[in-house]
Parts: sequence; structure tokens; C-alpha cells
Amino acid sequence: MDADSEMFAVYAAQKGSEWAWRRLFEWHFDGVYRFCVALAGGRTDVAEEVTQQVFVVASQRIHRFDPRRAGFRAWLLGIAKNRHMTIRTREQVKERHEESSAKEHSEAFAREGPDLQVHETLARLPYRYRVVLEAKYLRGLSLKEISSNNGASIDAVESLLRRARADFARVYEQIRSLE
Amino acid sequence: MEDKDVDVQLNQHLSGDPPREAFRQEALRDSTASFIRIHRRRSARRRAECAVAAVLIAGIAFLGGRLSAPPPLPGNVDIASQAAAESEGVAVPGELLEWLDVARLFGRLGMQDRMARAVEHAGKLMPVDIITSEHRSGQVFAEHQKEHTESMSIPSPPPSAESISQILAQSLGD
Repeated sequence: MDADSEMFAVYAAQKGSEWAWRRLFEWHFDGVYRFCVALAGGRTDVAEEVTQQVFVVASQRIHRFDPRRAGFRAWLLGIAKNRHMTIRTREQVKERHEESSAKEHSEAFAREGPDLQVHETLARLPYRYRVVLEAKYLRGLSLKEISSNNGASIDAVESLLRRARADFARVYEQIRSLE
Repeated sequence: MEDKDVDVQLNQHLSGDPPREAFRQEALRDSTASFIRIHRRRSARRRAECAVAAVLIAGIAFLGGRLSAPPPLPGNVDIASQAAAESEGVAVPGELLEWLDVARLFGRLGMQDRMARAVEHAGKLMPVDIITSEHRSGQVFAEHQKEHTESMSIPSPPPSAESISQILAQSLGD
């Protein structure tokens, strides 16, 4: 997969291609799920609920997605944040009646910051950098597996990873300085 | 931020248990079903919008056509008679014209009796009001013609033998 094929898949899905939608789901599901785990402070039940809602909402609103404004991953993460906020609000209403659990949740929320920044940084990286970083750190693939998947040499993958990490550091610092 | 720190950071936040396969399949099934449902609904809505737009365009075109037409004629005015009056012509049946053509043809062929019958036949087809007005105008015309002829005709005496011989002598030089 490259940036062009993602753009093509987005365009085709906007025109109603079910195949394109399935491709987009496969490409982004793991990354979005990991982001939701971080968003939910490690609570997998909430992460699954948010992830499920992200893809259902995205499938309903994909025709509104404008690639000039953001990348597809960044758009999905934005939906995830909104859905999580909705779930949190709903939970907080319940928590008013269960004050004991409130403190625990607020602590979990406080831990979310750095995790989200990592995912937001990834979403802002150039496509080839994000793909190689996710292949290594999210899916845990070896250099050999990544090189065979991409049809590149191991040296080329190593070099790409170095550049991807350098760019990650730059964007990550930018995000942190803004917040 | 060092390269090593980045490696640690990414390892720390991205590594972890992958999503359950059952959950992945469920999410894929639900989102795909929603995708198909929404797409069908949008297609149906787009078709309905096109139909409404077509009806609106047709309606506007119809109204535009009606409004651009000249205002309706008042009450019981007979359009045919008005058109005839405006063009200062006389409406006659087409059959009458055909009989006249036939009569002209018989005339050219020298069949006088047949020509007369054709003219007679055409005369029967002449509208009554035209016959009346023609008759009246014919009478007027005849009277007028008669007066004109009378006024124009100057009574002159028949030329005498003397005057003829004078003219001939002047012409011949005698």
C-alpha cells in the first residue's frame, strides 16, 4: 500500500465501493484501536466500543471527508476523540452517583496525554514513515518481514526507519510545544 | 529527542495486545453493513432529488412558455374571422379554389361547356355573405363603370369624306 492507493481507496469508498471500504478498514483498524486503548487509559472494553463507533461513523460520513484538510488516519482519530468524549460524558453522569470511582477515572485520564501525542504524531507523519513505524512498533514485524512486504532491501528499510524516527521526533516536539 | 528515545516511546505506546480477531470481524461487519446502507440511502435520495429537479425544470419551462405567450383574446371573439379581418382577406373553402382551378384548366383545353359547369359548381360553394357583398359591390362597380364610361365617351360626328381626303393629301404631300 502507498499514499496513492490510500487516496484511491478513499475516493472509491466515497463513490460507494464496498471493496475500497474494506481495504481502508484493514489498513487503519490496528492503529485506530491502539489509539483508542490509549484514549481509554488502557480500558479495552471502552477502547473496543470507541473503535467500533469510529468505523461505523466513518462509514456513514466518508463522503464528507476532505483529503485536502487532513489525512484519513487523522480524520479517524478525530472521530475517535469525539466518540470517546461522548462516552466519557455519559459515564460521568453515572459517576455522579458513584463518587468513589470518579477519582480513579480522572487519574486514568491524566495518563492519556503522552499516549495520544504519540498517535497524533504518527497521524501527521508522511505516509511512508507512518506505515513503516506501525509495521515495526504496532504490528511487531521484523525488518525482514517489513522488507519482504515492501519489496525493499533490509538496508533500505533500516534507512527508512531511521528517517521516520527522526521525523517522528521533530513532529512530536512540535505537538508538545503547542500544548 | 534522541533516536533511542523515539524507539522507546514508540515501543511503549504502540506495543500491546492486538485487537481480538472476533472484535475485528464484528467491527468490519457492522461498519460495512452501515456503509452499504448509507450508500443505498444516499443513492435513492440523489435519484429522488434528480426527479424533483426534473419536475421543477419542466414546471418552470411550462410556466415560462405560458407567460411569454401573448395575452388571451377577450371573450367570444372568433379567431378565424379576426384573422381574416386583420389580413383583409376572404376565407373561402378550399374546394371552391379547386373547382376554379379545374375550370381554368378546361378553359385552356378549350372545353367551354365543362368550364362553365365547373364555374357553376364553384359558384355554389361561394359563402353566402361574400355573394351578397360581392353582388352589392358588383352592382356599385357596374354603376360606377357605367358612369365612368358615359363621362369618358365624347360624342363625335362620323368623319366626313372631305376631312379624310384632307388627311390623305397632307400625308402624301399632294
